Amino acid sequence: MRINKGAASALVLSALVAILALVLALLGLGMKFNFGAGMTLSHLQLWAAILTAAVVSFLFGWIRYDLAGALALLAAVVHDQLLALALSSLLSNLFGLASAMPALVAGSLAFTYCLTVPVLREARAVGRSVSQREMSREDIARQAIRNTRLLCRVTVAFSALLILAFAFSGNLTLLGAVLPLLAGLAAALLSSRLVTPFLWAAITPRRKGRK
Amino acid sequence: MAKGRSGPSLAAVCLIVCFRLAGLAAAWMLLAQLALSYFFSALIGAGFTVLTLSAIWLSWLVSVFAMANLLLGMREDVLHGRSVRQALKESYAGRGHASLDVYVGLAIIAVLLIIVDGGVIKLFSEIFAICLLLGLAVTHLALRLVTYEAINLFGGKSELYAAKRTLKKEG
Repeated sequence: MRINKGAASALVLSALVAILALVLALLGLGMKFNFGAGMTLSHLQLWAAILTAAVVSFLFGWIRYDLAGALALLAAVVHDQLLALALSSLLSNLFGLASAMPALVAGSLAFTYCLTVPVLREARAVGRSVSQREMSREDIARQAIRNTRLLCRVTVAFSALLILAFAFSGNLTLLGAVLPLLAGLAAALLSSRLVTPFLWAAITPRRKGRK
Repeated sequence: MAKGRSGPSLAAVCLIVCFRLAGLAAAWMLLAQLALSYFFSALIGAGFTVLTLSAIWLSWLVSVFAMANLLLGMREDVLHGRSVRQALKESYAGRGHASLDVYVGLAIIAVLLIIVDGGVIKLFSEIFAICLLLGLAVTHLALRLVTYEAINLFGGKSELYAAKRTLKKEG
């Protein structure tokens, strides 16, 4: 399995953000909540939700697509959820989070699905229409990203506009409340453009039958 | 209050400018979904907190994505010379499956989170699942029906359904 350089760099960047958030959390500087909302928070619930989403996404991807699609969708879900959590934790030092944080981190899965599923479907469709001699899987992934660019722009623009309108209709407290959604959108955009398609390309499908 | 209306208004204007009659139908469907989402959330007594509003608007964003996906596919086919009716049918058969995957995948996760969780995630997932199902019905049944009726009523002239743009020459 050989992954594209850009995808590897994006994964390293995500890992660095996650490690930074973890270090700050260990130093007591992670997850700041408004009005003591953190007292009611159960971290176990959040991890259980992330695990459930990851398992369901893998099974759904396997049933609906193939093993490569399932692994790519699983990677996208895990990457986006962890990065959204890490970014929320880092930015919570500026804007305190609300008690709805675990639900909104889980809700940011909507962005992961909206941005990742069309690219995976497009990659499969392009892959079926050309032979591997004409086009490598990495080129197919690039083509899929190009083909879904307009849809991605529309989705991201409306999502960002709506979240920002929601955030600025209140005060800084409300901005902190929707912070996990903004972080989830950024994570989903990063993974769907730079990571997931190339991960899909790196997983070579097993050939059925013998010559 | 005015800021809260900016998202749907801009979505409606963009849809109408880009997809004209089909965009108008989509804008009405999005409005209907929003109204129904608020209605059902009130019906189950969820209360309009940040959690409930986030679930309603997130599912609404999924519907915006689904409709943009369908109408972009339809516009592409119409601009390539296919009839509007055929383009709509093809769009639902091809690109429509991507949005169907998104709806079904998210709905399964939401239902499982309702079973697994007992706190805020459960409450969020309940509203999210209901609104997603509403979005699925609105996008894949109501919008289809309304657009077919619009084609029957106003005819299948391509200018009525797709704003003209110069297609790039391939190669």
